[in-house]
Amino acid sequence: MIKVHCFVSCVCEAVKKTEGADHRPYYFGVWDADFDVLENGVLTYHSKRIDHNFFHQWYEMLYGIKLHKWYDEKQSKQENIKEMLSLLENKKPHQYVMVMLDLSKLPERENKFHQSPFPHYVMLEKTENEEEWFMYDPDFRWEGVLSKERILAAIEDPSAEGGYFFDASDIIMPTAETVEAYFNTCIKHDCNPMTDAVAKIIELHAAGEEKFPLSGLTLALRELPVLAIRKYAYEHAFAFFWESLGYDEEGFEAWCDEIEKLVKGYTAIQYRAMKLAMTGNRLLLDEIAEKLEEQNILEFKIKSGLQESFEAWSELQQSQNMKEAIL
Amino acid sequence: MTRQEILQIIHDILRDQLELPSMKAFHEDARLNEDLYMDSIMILQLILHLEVDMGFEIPDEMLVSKDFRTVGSLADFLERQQEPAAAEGSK
Repeated sequence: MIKVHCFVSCVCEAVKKTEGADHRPYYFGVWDADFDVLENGVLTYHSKRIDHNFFHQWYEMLYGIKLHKWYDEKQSKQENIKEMLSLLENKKPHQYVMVMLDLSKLPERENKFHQSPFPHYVMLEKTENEEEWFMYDPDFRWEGVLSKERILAAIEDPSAEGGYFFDASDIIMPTAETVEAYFNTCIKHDCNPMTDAVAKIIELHAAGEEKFPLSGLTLALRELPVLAIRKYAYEHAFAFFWESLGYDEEGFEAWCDEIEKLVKGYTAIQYRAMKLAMTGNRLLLDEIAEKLEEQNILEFKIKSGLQESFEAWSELQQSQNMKEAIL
Repeated sequence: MTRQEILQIIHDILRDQLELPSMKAFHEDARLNEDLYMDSIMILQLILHLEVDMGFEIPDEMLVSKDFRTVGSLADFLERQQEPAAAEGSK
C-alpha cells in the first residue's frame, strides 16, 4: 500500500500486527478526510484547524484501543519531549509511541513529495544503542534505525506538534454494527469536498482580486497530490466488501481502475491550473471546469458502487446473524 | 531536433527555470524523483516548460507516465512526439 494518511497508517499498524484483525474498514474515513483552505487560498493537508478527533474516536470504537494524546500544545516543546522520553523508557511490546516530526529534516528518508516542512506521524522505539532509535513509518512502509539526535531535531521543528500513545494488547474485532455505523458516517453521496474546494480555489484566483492572483495557483494547489492519494482508501473498502461477499476479482480490478483514474484526474487538474498560472490564458478555465465535473461524476459513481456492495454486505451480515440465532 | 538537443533542452529547463540544486546528478540515466530529487510538482513544471516554451504536445495521460521516470526515458518520449510531425513534413 502506498502512503495515504500518516495518522491512520500509524494506528493501523497495531491492527495489522494482530492476527485476524482487519484494518480495512478504518480507511472508510480517509477518502474524504479533513483538509483546510488557508486565508491565502492555499489548499493544505495540515493546519492548526485540523485535528484527528474523528479518526481518534472511531479507532477506539472500531478496535477498542484507547488512544492517549500525550502531546500537550500548552506545554513547551522540551516538556513534551521529556514526556515522550518517559513513555519510550517504559514502553512494553504491545505499546506504541507516536510522534509528529518534520520529515523534511530527515533528508536520508526518501520523501517523494519533497515538501518543507513536512509534518508527519511516525512511531519510535529504543534500541540497544543509546544514540539511536528505531523508527516505524507505516505510511511510507519504512522502518529503520536513525540517530536519536537527528530525530529529536525533526521533532523540535515548530511545524510539528503532536503525539499519541496506545496499548494494543486488548484489541477487539470491529462488530458489523460498528462497521455499518462508520460507513454511513463516512460516505458522502451529495458532495465531494476536495473537488469542491479545488473548484473554489480556482474560482477565487480567477476572480481578478489582487490578493489572489492567477500566478498564485501553483502554490495554492501544491499539496493536491498528498490529498489526491487519499482516494486510494476506496480500494480498501471495495476489497473488504468484495472478500466478504466472495465477488470475483475482475469486478474488483475494474473499480481499482476507476479509482486510479480519479487519482490521476487530479494531476490533470493541477497541470492545467499550473498552465493557467504560468500563461494567464483564461481559456484554460473551461478545460479545468470540464475536468472537475468529470472528477465529480467519477467519484459519485465510485461512491454509488461502494454503497451497493456495502448494502449487499449488510444483508449478508444480517442473514448470517439470523442463521446463528436459529442454530 | 536531435536527441542531444532534446537532452540539452531538458538540462537547461531544469537548471534555468526550475533552478534545481541537484544538477550535478544530471545524466541520461538519472531518475527524476530519486536522483534529481524532483517532486511531482517539479516534474509537472518541467512538462509545462516543454509544452509552453518548446511546443511539445503532452497529452493528459502522459502526465503520470512511466516515460517520465528518467531523463533518458523522457528524451525518448519527446523524440517519439516529434515523429508524426516529421513524417507529415516529409509527405
